[in-house]
Amino acid sequence: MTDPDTLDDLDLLALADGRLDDDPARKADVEAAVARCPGAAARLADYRAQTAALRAAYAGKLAEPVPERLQAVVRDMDRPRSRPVMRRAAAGIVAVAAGVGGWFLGQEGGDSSRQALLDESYRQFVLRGSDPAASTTGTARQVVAPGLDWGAEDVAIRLSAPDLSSEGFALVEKRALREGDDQIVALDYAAEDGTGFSLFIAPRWENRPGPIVDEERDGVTLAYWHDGPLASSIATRLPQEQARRLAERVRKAMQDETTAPPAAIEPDFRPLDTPPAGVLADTLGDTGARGTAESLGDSGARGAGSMEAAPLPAVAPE
Amino acid sequence: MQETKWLIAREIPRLRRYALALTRDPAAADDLVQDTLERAIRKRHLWKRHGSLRGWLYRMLYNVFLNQTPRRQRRAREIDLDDAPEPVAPESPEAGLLQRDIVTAMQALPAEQRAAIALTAVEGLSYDEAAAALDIPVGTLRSRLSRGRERLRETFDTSEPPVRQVK
Repeated sequence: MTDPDTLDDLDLLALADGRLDDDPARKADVEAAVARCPGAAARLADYRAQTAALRAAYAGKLAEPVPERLQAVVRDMDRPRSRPVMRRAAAGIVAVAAGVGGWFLGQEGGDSSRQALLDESYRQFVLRGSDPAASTTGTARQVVAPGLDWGAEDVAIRLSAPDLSSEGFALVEKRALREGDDQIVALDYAAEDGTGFSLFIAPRWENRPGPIVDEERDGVTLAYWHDGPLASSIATRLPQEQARRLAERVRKAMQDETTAPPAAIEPDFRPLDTPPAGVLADTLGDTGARGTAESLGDSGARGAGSMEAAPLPAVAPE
Repeated sequence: MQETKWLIAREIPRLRRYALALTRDPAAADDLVQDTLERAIRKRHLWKRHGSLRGWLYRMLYNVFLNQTPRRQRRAREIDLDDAPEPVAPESPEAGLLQRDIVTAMQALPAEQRAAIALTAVEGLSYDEAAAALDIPVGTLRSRLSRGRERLRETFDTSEPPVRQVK
C-alpha cells in the first residue's frame, strides 16, 4: 500500500504516461493512493492534460507530407557509392545469347560484331521512331518479348537498367529484340525536354573492355563499346558530342550495375579444363576467348542442364 | 538495400516531430532531420547492434542536435520572413486570450527536459528506451522528466483546451 504522503511525481507521471499498465498491482496501488490525496489527484490530472495537449499539438506533424529534400536523402542513399557487383541483383533484365555460333566472338569478331550491333541499333532506332518519350504515351507500346526457347545453349546475363537520373533521363521502356539467334535488349530513355536515346545491349564473349566508338548516320548518332560480358550501343538524335558524353555516363552506370549470371545458370566449363566452380561471367572471358566454337558448344549444352533446374523468366523486360 | 531504405523512410515523420519539439522551428527541424538521415545512412551498417532502428535514429538525432555548430543554431533562429510560419488562427475567440499554450510552455524548457518529455509523452517511448535514446541513465531521465513536467504545470494552463497545432 502506497502512502499518499510518499507518493511522488514519478509515480504520478508513470501513471499518467501509462507506464504502469504492465504492472496492474502497482497501478492499483498508486491509484488508490491518489484517491486518498486530493493534491495528488490534481497533479495527476495536470500531467494527463499535459500529455494529451502535447500529443494533440504535435500530431499534425505525422500526417504532413515528407518534404522532397528529406525523401531524396533516403532515395539517393546508394547512388554516390555504388557497388559494382550484385547491387540490385534481383531487379532488371536478363540478356540471353542463344546459340554459340551467334555470339559476338571477342578478338577475331572485333569489327564485324561491333558493326552488327551498330547496324541493328540504327535499324531499331529508326524503325521505332527516334522519340522514345512520345512513343510511350500509350501503354500498349510495350513490346511483348517473344517466348524464348530454353534450348540447350542459352546463357543468361543479368543486369539492372542503368540509373541515369543524374543525367536527367528516365527509363521509359524495356524491350527484347532478336537478331538471328541473339537477343538484344533495348532500353529507351527519355528526358523531360523530350530528348531521348535508346540503349542496346547484347551479350558477348570476351572480357577485354574496348573504347567507345561513335559514328553518325543520317542525323542519328551511334556509339558502341563493350565491357565484360556485354556489348552496348546507344542511338540518339542528340548532337554527337553530347551523345559521346552520354555514352560515357551510360557505360559508367552499367559498370556499376552489371551482375554476374545467377548461380543457377552459371555455365559449367569443365570441357575447357578450367575450374568448374565459382566461375562468374566476368572472369570467363579469358577462357571463352581461348576456346573454339566446338568446345564452347559442348560446354553450353552442359550449362543448360543446370538451367532447367531453376528456370528464370525468359526475357525480363519487367 | 531496398528494405533498409524503406525502414528508414518510414521513420521520417516521427523524426520530424521529435526534431520540431527540440528545435522549436519547422525549417530548423527539417535541417536537423536531414543531417540525421545523412549520418544514419553513412553509418547504417551499425544500427543493427542497437536494437530498434527507431531508437537508434532518435538517439542519432539528439546527438546531431547537441553537436550542431553555433552557426547552424544561429541560422535556425534567423527565420526568413517568407518561411516563417503563419500565425495560427485561434479556434475560438476565448482561446485567443490564452497567454500560453503547451507548445510555448515546452519551448521555454531546457532542451534536455524537452527531449525527455517529447520522447516519453509524444513519441511514446518507455523510460528505458528514452534513456537509451538520450544516452543517460534511467534515473537521470526520471529526474529530467519530473522537473520538466513540474515546470510545465506552472506555465501551461490545463484549465483551457489546447490552442493550436504546431505546423
